[in-house]
Amino acid sequence: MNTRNPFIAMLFRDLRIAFRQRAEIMLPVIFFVVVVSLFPLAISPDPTVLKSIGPGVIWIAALLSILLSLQSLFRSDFSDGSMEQILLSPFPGSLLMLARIVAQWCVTGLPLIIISPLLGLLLHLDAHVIWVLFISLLLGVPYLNMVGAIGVALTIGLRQAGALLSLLVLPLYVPVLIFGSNAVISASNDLPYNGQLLWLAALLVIATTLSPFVISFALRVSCSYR
Amino acid sequence: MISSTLGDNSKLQVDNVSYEINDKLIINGMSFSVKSGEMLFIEGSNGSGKTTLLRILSGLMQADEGQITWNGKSIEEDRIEFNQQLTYLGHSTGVKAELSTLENINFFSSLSGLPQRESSQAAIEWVGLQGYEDSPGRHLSYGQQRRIALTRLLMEPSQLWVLDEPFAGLDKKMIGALELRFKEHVDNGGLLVLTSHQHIELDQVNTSRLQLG
Repeated sequence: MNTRNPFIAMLFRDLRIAFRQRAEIMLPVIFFVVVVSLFPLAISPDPTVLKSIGPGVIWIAALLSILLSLQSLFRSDFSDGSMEQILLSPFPGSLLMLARIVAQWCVTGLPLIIISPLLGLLLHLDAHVIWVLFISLLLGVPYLNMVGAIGVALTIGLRQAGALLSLLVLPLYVPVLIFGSNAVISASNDLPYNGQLLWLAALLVIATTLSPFVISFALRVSCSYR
Repeated sequence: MISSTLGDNSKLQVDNVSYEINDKLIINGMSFSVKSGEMLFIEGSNGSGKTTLLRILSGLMQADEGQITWNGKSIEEDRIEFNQQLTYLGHSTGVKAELSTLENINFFSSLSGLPQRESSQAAIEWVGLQGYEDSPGRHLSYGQQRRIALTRLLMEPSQLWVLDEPFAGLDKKMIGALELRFKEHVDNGGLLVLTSHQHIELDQVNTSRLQLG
């Protein structure tokens, strides 16, 4: 498809590239499923135990799986020179970066959110708890993608960025982990959970409005110290 | 081929630009200018700072000191207009290994922000990649990937070309076609800044030379 709209062009380019590397895009979601399904084997198949640890397990697995998927973000663009062309295009870098994150979310975050109700069933969560889990991931995972992308943009120019990236990004992931898993735990204890979900929504709004600008600025800086 | 004039009073001015890497002064207080209808040929040995200078000219890197202006306005201030008029080709081609030739070319043209001068098909024929339209980038040789990047010189109607080693990895025939295109661009009022280890001489083209290092 040849379009003049740079946002759409960027989005389709990234999705196309992702779907041509099927093995790679399946990795985060396979990791997510494997980690969650190992818990009943390692801890206990007892439904009461699984019910109490389930929300936390699913949220931690989601967080780590997004962290895993970050490693490849922007890397090939940086090494093959397409990042230079993106930065030198007359369109706002933030717009193009938003397109990249949306694409990244479609291939890493979205499959994980879609499959989460099944994993909720596996851990014996009740139907209304699974629903809250689904909503909390829907609000929280895009935040993980965006904040993670900021970390990648800052460290992409470095040779061994893996450990530094986790150090930078994990503290910023903690609030979402707390609100997300707490919303699900509250729901399973029949307590109100709207507050936590609203906090997640607020964090998502902040990340959506600010992160594209920060990412594009950080990439410009990373690119200038090559 | 459409021969459109690009306007004839644009000017890239470099004032007193310095840049250092690890306390080593790579570029020391350099000043020059390039105007419409001029070509600037930057020469120098390996490591003399040619690539660094081109990256600073294109705005990818910021000079430690000094200023670069495009038509009197600093390129940092007026980035959108400057980027619209700029075609930069670096060492890396920007060709994605997973995308086909045509998809790569179409993406370049969506990024350029101006209507294409020539159709993608005409550009593919110009670089001699007919029959490779649907081949993914990873199946192409380095020279063929460079050719994909060069299609931008035919398609983008930009005024200022900043080219780092444009002849690297190309055969004689393509170099000839490229020299013709350079001449046409400069004759139409374009600006051309390039580095090359290859000696090139364009007939009746206003060429200045800059020796680095």
